Amino acid sequence: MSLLTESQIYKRLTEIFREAFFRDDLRLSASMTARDIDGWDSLKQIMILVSVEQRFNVKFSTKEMDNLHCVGDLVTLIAAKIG
Amino acid sequence: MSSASAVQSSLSPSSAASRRRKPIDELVLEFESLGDNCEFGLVQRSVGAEPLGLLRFAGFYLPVEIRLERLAAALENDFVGLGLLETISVEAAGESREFLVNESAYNLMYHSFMHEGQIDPEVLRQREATRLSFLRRKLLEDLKNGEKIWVWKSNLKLPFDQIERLVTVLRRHGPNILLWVVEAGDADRPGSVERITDNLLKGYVERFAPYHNAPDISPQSWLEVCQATYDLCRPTTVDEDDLEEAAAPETPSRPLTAMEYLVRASSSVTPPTPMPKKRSVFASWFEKLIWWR
Repeated sequence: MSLLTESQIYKRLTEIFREAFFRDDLRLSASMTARDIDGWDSLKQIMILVSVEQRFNVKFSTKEMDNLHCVGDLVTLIAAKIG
Repeated sequence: MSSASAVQSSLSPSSAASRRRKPIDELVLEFESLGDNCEFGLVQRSVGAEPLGLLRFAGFYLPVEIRLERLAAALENDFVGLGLLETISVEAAGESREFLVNESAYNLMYHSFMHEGQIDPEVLRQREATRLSFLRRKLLEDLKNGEKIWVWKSNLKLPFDQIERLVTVLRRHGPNILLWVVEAGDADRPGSVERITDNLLKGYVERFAPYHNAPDISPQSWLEVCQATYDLCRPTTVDEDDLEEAAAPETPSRPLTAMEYLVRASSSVTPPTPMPKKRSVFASWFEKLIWWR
């Protein structure tokens, strides 16, 4: 995958989140955590990570997944993977 | 186990070490459920932890008596074939018409939380195939790393050789430790942990939720068991800085450790504290699932 800017990553990630939560109004921010989105449980988390792996063509290790605490962490990880 | 070296962990909340303990929601992430049902997954949820795990909420749709045997066999086999599309079917069930997911290679069953009209069943089937493959990959990686403490509980008294077999299988994957959780008998203190071998610990909880009502958990002794197990398996050294810090006034804004959580919550043993909406979702989930006997 070609190098994406952070805003491009956010744009794609927003699509993934909107599909996962059936919410077209969802806007992501770096500090956003599971506490900020109703229904963001482990099942949704898996759905999000699977979609991210598929659409960004990356693979995450268990440790990388365990260290994700907020949307910003995920964006940073994606950027590192595709960079 | 009467023959075991009875190393009962003692928890002392006032010690310096306790002040260095992980916050409770981080502590429970050190553990991963292997079954036999979702009870420990709900304990994790009760303190706000939502780890990803294949067997946290999915379970073997088999009689309780043979779940451990089937688990050991599946782990021995690396859950090979899990996530193959042809092994997955979905079926809308009950008044809510929620899709239940059936996996035929290992007889796993779980809820999709998707209902008729929300998603095309074929799309859901493919999504679940991807999800199971993902969780299998994660499970095998976690087993290889040996950093998680694996948790097995059963409301039934199972032969010890089955537990030993599970430990053996886990050790074939990596440097793994099993926490075997049982209900405390008259001679056992709920919340205590006994080291059976280097790789096997036995924890005693006050009681298990009945299979027909899995959300009816009693998390307090579970959390004590987690803390005691973690202290035994991952001991931390306390240096002088730690002692000085421990003597300093407590900072109210820091996250609670397991013991602090328990002390503050000890006035009553309460079920988990999810949002009311979530509770009803999970109640209906478990009420509908036949395999939570």
